[in-house]
Amino acid sequence: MSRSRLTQVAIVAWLVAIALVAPGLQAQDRFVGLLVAPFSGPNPLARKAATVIHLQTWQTLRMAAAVNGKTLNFGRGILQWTEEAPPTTHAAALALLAGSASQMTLWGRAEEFGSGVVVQAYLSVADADGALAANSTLWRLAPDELPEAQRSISVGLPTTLFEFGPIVLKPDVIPVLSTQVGIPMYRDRTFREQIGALSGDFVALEQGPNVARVRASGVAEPGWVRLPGLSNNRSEVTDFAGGLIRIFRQDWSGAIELLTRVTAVASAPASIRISAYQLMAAASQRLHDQVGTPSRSVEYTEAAERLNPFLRETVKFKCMALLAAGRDPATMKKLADTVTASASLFPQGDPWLGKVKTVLARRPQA
Amino acid sequence: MANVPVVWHVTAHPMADLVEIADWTGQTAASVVFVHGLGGHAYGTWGDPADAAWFWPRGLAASVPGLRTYALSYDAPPSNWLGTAMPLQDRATNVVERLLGRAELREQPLIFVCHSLGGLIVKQALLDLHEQRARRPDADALLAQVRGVVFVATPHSGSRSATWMERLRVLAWPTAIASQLVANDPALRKLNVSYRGFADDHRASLRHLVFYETQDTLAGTIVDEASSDPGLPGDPPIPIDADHVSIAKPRDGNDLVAERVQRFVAATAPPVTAPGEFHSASLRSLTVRRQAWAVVPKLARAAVLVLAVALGARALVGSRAVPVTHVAEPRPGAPPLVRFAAVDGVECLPMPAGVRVTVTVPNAVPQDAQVNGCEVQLPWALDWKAGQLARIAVEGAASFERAEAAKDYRLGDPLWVVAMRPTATAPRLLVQVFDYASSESGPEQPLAQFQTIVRNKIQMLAQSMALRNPLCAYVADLRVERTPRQLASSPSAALSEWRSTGSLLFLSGLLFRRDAALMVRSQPFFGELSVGADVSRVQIDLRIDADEFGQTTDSHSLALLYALAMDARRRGLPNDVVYVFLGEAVSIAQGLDTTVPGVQLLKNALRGALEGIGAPIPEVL
Repeated sequence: MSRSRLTQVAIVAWLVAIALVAPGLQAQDRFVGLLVAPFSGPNPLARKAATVIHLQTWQTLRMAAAVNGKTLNFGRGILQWTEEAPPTTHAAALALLAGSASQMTLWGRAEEFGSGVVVQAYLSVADADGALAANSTLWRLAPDELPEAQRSISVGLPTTLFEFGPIVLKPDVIPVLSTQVGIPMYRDRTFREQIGALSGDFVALEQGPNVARVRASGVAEPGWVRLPGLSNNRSEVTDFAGGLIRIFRQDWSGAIELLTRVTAVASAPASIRISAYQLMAAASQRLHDQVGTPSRSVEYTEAAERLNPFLRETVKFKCMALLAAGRDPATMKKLADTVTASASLFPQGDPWLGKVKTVLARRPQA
Repeated sequence: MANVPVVWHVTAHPMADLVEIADWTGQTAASVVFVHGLGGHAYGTWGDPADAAWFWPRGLAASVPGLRTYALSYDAPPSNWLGTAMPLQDRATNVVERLLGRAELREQPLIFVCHSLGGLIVKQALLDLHEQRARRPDADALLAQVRGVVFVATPHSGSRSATWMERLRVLAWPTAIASQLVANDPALRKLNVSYRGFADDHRASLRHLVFYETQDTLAGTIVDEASSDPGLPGDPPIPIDADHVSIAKPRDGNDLVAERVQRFVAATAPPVTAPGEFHSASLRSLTVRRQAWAVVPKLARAAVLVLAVALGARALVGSRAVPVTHVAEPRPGAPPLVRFAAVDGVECLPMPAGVRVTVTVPNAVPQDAQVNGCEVQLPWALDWKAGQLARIAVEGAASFERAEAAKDYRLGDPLWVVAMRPTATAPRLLVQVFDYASSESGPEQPLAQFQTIVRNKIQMLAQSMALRNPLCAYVADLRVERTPRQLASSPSAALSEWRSTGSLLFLSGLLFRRDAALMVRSQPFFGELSVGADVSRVQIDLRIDADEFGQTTDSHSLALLYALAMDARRRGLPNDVVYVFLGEAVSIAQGLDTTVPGVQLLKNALRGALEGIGAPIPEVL
């Protein structure tokens, strides 16, 4: 078969595929957006650092996952940039979302300390359940053992304010980000001919490894910018933000891919790695439910538990994983042990734990 | 006791000298060397040697058969106006040579009794001996005989008095050795850490006894409790009802210091079967002849000071030409100054936002007054009449309650004080950041950066915790406020302020330089929340450096979460709320480097808090 013939077949197959999923697209199409706000701190350094992180996070967006079974629709992931004043609190970060297509704000501050500069980033999520679309919550189970009217045990996002580890800017990056001139834009990827500078509002158009093509206000034509590595150490910010976007888009395998990278960053705060494991557990179970791939949710939640057994969310996610794992006595024994060991993390008569206990009482145990 | 000396002089010998005070004619059980401190004297520091009834070095020798006592004499004036003194390390070297010159010291157990700076010199001398022991048999032999060190008010981490002296160095002109006693001096800290390691290595043969003063001299407390603690496990400091000077002058053998030292020495010295007769040495005069030219730098400095004072006075006289703005007398009937204060004496107690004050005078409609910090702006519309009584009602101050339920205020009194006290069950939601002292001149920016990142971190953490659990939502009201002065050095004064202000946590500390690095030592103060935990003396030493950002924010986060957890316990909140704070603290503790001084103590505190609610202890702690 000639190359042109192959191309024709591929185009036809693509159109057929689009036609098949089009009704689904129309029914479920939605925006999943991340708003990136300029960082507070010494300018233009703080602003440029936010721009670089924005574009790096944007690079984590993708069209579709390789394996996602019946729900090929991932909605539309978008990254927005705002020219509002930098927020300095969670509430102010959420307020920026009003009227935007985004459900979360990436914000932060750049702070000078000693002779260096550190970027501290936060992710604030609004209306988390609404952003999770179809099932309106991250992970829901309906155990038969519960009365029909109460047949639902669920968990949402571990928190709505994520704080990332500090990014210590590389010494050679600081002067680049500190100049009043914006990030240089070039005509093409040879980076020989500068056509302007990225300093204000912009739209990202195309991505490549450590490069992005953008249309910037004040520059006549789109151009390419280099995205410098900000730190000598790997940061978890873009992978976590990208992973959360994929969770919201129900791109479960894609979310696991990015969040696995987060758990591998040893310098990331334990709280972020724990959240990553919990999101991975939910994604793994959802992927299992949809396409039958083996669930690794128990493994993920136990990894989170090893990091910190004293968080209520850690216990909740582990209970969810064990409840979903099956009814065999060994699993139920593990669930019973978890509930007993962690009861003091919950208030007396906690309804959520009460439901788990009810299920437990009605399932056979070793 | 014969041969009581009557001649001794205030000026010590410039070279270290070891003066025998008393011994026994038979077997020698042990030797004790008394080492005086800054500005002290080989005899005068320990009492009056002319006192036939009791002079400590002599009395101690008499009470332990076979004991020989010495007094170390060396020149240690606090100010160059009074003489000169070599730096601590040099003095220690000098003392080592003097000790090694006395062969008899290498034959029996040796104990040092050290007052103030003397303790630091002995610590450095022992470290020097330890270092030399491989190449010098005499050093090794002497070190092997050292069985005990008694620290009497020794400033292991420096003295605030020396800090003040250093700040007033133009006038005070401190000697080299006095300059090294600046509070939290890095060199002292290094000495302290090295000695702890030495003491730990020799714990089987080396014992310690530690005393500290609890009363003020005219110049205040010279060595506070924290500084007098060398941090040696199993040797807790013993408080003594004495000031820095009198603590080294026990009145008789029943005095607590003398009695404990006697027991300590008796337990260390092996019993002797034939001690013989007690013998008190004739104390020789300790005078020094100074070179005439030594007065030249003093005269030159005095001349410069006189000139500076003269120029300053002239500038002051010249400034009279500047017009002075007179403040008008309050007009009759003007409202008085109304101020919130604490019952414990804090004169300005800022009230949280939302406090409503209503003022009522007879036959008039109650009127609202505006609250601004600790002051109340009374409404001018009030119909003031001389001698009239007014009532003040305070609402919305959830964290505070009126100390006096019903109090009348009289018009004509210039100041109305509304005394408040923290409500027992109200959460403590104020973090006060006091001025950090600085041993460096000028670098205000690094301190400002440090305080900014700590404040930002605490505020973000509070927002985050408030989202975790509805019962923790109150933490969203946590405030971080800068207090533009240093925290009181006395623990009791700090505790009093902590109680009265309703604060959760005080942060204070010091900026200093270690080697080339700019360091900050942060000292969280938890007040009564640290009961049962050894965090009251925690000192977190951090480099002012971007690479230390995470350790800086995380260590202070741990302190805050510990305080929040303990406050929740104080208020009787259920354990699941306490767990919210401690659980987050466990997450943060994982990223903390325990080699950062102070971090392990914080982790220990966290461990204690978890044990307090019956939780298992995670590996990270």
